[in-house]
Amino acid sequence: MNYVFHLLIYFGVYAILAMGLNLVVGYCGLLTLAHAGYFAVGAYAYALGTLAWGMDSISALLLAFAAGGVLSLLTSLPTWRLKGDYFVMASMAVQVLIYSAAYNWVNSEAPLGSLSNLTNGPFGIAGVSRPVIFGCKLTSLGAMAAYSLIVAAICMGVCHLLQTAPWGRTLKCMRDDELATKNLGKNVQLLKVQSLSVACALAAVAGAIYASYTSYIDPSLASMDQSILLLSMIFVGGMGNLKGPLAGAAILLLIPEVLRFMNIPDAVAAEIRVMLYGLMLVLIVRFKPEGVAGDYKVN
Amino acid sequence: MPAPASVGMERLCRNEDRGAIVQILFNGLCNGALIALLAMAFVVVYLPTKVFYIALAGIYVLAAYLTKQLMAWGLPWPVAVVGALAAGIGVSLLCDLLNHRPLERKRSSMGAHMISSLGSYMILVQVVALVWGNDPQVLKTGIGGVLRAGGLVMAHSQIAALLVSLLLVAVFFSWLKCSDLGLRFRGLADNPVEMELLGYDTDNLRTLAFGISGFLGSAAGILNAYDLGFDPNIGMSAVMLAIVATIIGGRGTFIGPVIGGLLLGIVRSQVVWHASARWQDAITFFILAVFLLCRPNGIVGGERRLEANE
Repeated sequence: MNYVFHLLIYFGVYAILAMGLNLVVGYCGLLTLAHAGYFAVGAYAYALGTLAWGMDSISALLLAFAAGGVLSLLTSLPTWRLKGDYFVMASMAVQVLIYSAAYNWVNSEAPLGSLSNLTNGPFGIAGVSRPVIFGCKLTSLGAMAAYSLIVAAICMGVCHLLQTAPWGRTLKCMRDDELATKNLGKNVQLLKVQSLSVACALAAVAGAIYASYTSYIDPSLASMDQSILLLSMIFVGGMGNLKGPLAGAAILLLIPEVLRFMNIPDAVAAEIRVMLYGLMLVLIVRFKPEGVAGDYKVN
Repeated sequence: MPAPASVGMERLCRNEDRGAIVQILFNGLCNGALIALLAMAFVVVYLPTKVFYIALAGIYVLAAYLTKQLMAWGLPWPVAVVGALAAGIGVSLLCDLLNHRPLERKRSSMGAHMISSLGSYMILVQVVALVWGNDPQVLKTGIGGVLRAGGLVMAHSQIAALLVSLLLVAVFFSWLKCSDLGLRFRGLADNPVEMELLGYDTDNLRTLAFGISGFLGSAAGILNAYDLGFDPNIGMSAVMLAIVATIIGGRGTFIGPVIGGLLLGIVRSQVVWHASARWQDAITFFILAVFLLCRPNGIVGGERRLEANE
């Protein structure tokens, strides 16, 4: 049973990440490689908030949300006018800068969370505690899974409202024909900034849940491999609606578990998993560009 | 007026300083030449076909491992290198035939090409890791020879990296400028649609681009493996550097990536000297961000409006 709870917690985390990324890639048509960076921003904000700055879980979660939203300006403002592979490059630069900050912002003399030792560098931050909601601590895995799924459901509701609102329809319009959208008097740059900030804030919330579950975080959360995994998720699952990213998160989480039940030795399981992800990307782009359950064709 | 002894000391210090500066410059040039070679391999595909060729990272690693494997089977090193280069070209052509040509037929966007190439990169690297393991490896045995000239210490592997990559780039440029095929190639890079309208076989020219890229990429991989060593995951960071070099130098031209690569190599070795190796990537990508903001067409790109649908 604990195994199922563990999977459900991960599903909640990755579902939030994929839904956020869908807003940027599937609704704005911007291929971002910086999403894992914001995942790490949320994880670090939550860990520092609870461990170093004496916040309770709820306000640390809100801090992570705000940090993700505000730091999204790091991507969206410099790339104000960029598109296509220029945007990919710029988001890659943001990703590497966040990773370098997490890795290098360390000073072993200063206490954790002070200005000269914000992230504890390559050693990571250990001992992040489980969240305390309204006075009761979520120690059991079941409670943690419920917490993760409830937050994911709230994020799903927010995404659903955003996507069905006029705002979401304008985004779709911009993705399909930017010039026409401009012609209709819409501020496309502002729309991109808004959707990036929502997406990054969601990623940060996922990071906060992840940190409180694993209780240990390190800079590898912000690695390029994470970003690539997230991109694979929404490309496999599909984009442009709500069920695509959820399907993608479920499929990519279940593949390693299926491999485990097929008795593939642990030594090669990691390689085979990533190889399958790669194979799926190639096949999906070639034969089913809208993904398993998506609306938007990456043609 | 200082005493003569202190003047002598000062001069000595300055000489040592100068020695260090020249040494760092030389190291930077060697690394830069390798970056330039890989950037060349990237841009050879990027300019004519607009494919963001990430699978190059897989070929870069594969060539290094194949060379080591062939040498372990007792083949002399020139044969091993030629074998690895041939395999690199072959894999690159396969990438074109299986992935990018069908996608191009469907008039796919740059994003689809890029994701497809990313997928092939993941497959290639994991195959390498499955066959040869994840441990770091070296190609040369022992410490390797060293050449001293004045205060400059040059490892033989560094000299090989510098000379061979400059030679390959020079050969490529003379082919590009002097041969008929090179002219067609430049035409394709300039305006693919018009080349097609004029009746040239652009499909074969595109395949040629992938072949050249495979050759240059695996050459860079082997040289880097000989100089510094390798593991399955170095390919991605090497290709990322090459892409940064391409953008800094100017990606609308063939010469831009070479200039960008050399500059980037020099800057990165200066960062190691003045700050720390930990900051290399941060500084590199900060430079990239500055260029994207202020001069997106690069150093030699000139002032040109960015296309709306790029």
